[in-house]
Amino acid sequence: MQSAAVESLGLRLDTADQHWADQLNRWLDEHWPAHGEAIKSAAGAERERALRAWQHELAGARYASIGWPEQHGGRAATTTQQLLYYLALGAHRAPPATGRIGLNLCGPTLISHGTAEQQERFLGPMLRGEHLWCQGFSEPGAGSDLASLRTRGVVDGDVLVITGQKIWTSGANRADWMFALVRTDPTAPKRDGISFVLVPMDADGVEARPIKQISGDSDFSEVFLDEVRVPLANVVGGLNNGWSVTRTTLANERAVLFLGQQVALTSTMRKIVRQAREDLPGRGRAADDHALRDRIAEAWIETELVRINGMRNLAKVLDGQNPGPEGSMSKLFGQHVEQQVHELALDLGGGSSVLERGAENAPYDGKWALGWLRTRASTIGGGTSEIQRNILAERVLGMPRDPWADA
Amino acid sequence: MEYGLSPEQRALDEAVDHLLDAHARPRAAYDEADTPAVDDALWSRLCDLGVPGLAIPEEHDGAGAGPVELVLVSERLGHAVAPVPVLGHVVAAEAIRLAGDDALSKELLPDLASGARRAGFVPAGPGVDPVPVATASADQTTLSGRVPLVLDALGAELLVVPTTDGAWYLVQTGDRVTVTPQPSLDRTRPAAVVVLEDAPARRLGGRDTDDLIGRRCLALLRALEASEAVGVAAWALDRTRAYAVDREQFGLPIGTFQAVKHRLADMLVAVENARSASYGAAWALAASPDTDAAVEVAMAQAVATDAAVRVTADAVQLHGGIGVTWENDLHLRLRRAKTLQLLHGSPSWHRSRVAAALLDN
Repeated sequence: MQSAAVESLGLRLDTADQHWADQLNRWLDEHWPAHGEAIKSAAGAERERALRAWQHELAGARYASIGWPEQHGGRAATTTQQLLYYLALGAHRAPPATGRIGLNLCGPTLISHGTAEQQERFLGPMLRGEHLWCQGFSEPGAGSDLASLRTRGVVDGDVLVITGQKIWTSGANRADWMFALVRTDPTAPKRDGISFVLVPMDADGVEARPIKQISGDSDFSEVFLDEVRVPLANVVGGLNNGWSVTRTTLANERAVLFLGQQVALTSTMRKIVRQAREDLPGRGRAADDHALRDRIAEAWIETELVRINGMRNLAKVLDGQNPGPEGSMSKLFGQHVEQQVHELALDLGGGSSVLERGAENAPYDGKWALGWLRTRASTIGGGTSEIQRNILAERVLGMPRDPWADA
Repeated sequence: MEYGLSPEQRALDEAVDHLLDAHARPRAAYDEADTPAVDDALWSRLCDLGVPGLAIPEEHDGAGAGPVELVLVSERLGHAVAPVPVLGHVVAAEAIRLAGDDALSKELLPDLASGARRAGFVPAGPGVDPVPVATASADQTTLSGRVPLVLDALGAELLVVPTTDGAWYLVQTGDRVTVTPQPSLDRTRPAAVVVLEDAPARRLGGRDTDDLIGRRCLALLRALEASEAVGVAAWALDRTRAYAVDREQFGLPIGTFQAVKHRLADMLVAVENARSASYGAAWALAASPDTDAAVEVAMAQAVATDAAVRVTADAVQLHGGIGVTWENDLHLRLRRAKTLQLLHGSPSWHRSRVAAALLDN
């Protein structure tokens, strides 16, 4: 099944990769169905446990974080293997490990900059889903200008005493640990006085308060830190080195991340096309409205561009070249497309689209309305579109930095 | 893999880039009186590189490559706004290949591959406007009519021409064919009116190949025009990038200011999206020798020609006053961009094709 998907991407597998994919697929055939049942039938805390159990199973076969080096329980997977991995999971409708924030963002930092003790202590539980992690970076006064963060860490013997506030912390309410950026030298230039610290969420003085978003969801929290005492041994990469330490990610993995977005966009587009062809009493077919036809074509084209941009980038990485501007572009363009597609979905439904979940006759049971509200965040989270444009202009096109940005 | 370039393809791309960078003189058409429509010296250098025969089968002395290679070359031609009629020539060769007439292929394709003879192509079909009007004599040996607007025909020895009933003919230019240049926006790919008066002609293929020739050749032409648009936009972005670093106001390079920076970032996104769309069409056409890749080609035209117009217009804007002077090269690209956008179906027309594929049937 996946080899067809791989071929549709224009990729030819050598026998080693084919063998790798076969093994993974056999493993998924055997191990996923039981977990799939458990996850599907559960809700709330029970579902949380089921998701962690699936990650535990993945970890046992070194499939939880395949990009990690082998000695830490990964497979040092190549980009091709990453691609095969996501395609195989997709084909089985199996989710990747639920502790992604830790595995993708904190793990690589620990692997590159952590001490042997830190690696020994944290990587195993992170891999097995025993510890879920959240990222404590943004603050009320430090969003796009992250380096101006003010949460203070004061050294007291062999302990760091942390006081301040984090915000937009995804998954804080379910996390066991937080990796946070903390100002440990207020006298240094702003990027030089920051440390990368591992904070247990159950420590005294830590309080996470969920933020209710415009969609009604609570994906994020505010995290208040009031004289939280953390051993100095939890600082990664040395005191005041936090800014450079955070810039560790796994390039192999980034090249295939567009696949997830592409799958979601394509599926939404398919529903939009189906809906546009429905003949609604009193309204007729959206497919007969010239302006809407143009927008549907435009949205479909843009979705296809997300795919080809991603494929071009992937082709370069597989070929051993550095990712080109397509990589940096994909966030800016992809988040725009996500928004456009959901705007279109809502517009297609006309007046009925104002109906939310639970209303009689709400299109797709209010999913469009919800998606429309949710995707307002697409161009904000993880770096606003404005910041992405700055990054593209400065790093790809070589424009001078904003004169006020340096410190 | 798909959308990735092989070492050979990258080498071709670089070779064409170097050649055009050193020898293309697009300004001549604007600054020098009586500049010929085709730069023959540049044409013959491109012939030495094998460009005219890239997609002609090896058995007919071509390189046996295909749409992907043509798209790469065409992007470079757009980048340089090179005054050479490569597009019309390679599409005419494709029409002859598709006619499936072995004798004709043997007779003509080697000369077209070497570039010793030049051919032009008159497109017809949905979205092509104004419409060529030509009819054949009863014995199918002559053609009469009028082609109101065609590019790449000036100086061609052979023309591939459709009749109003959808048949394809190969016309030998000469006394009975008048090709008259017309002033048009883009002087580096000059427009012409072609009048045929009992012009000697040969039937290309037959009823069974007419439809295929029409669709596939128009699709190839559109894909190549889209990739020209990519090159045009890429040049404009590159030039503007350099200008934004050099030009200072308020004591700083203007590229420091976010109003400029962000417009440049959007231009970059437009260029890369256009390139992706153009590659999408190239790979789709390469997938089979007789597909017209209708949706992918429509997408390429819609995305790339819009991007070219927007990016060249933005480039003019970011250059300020100097951008609207005759001596600055930007208007050469602005003119080419608008020409490509309108010539063979507007972006909204092409989007209507995509919409039809998605919503009708």
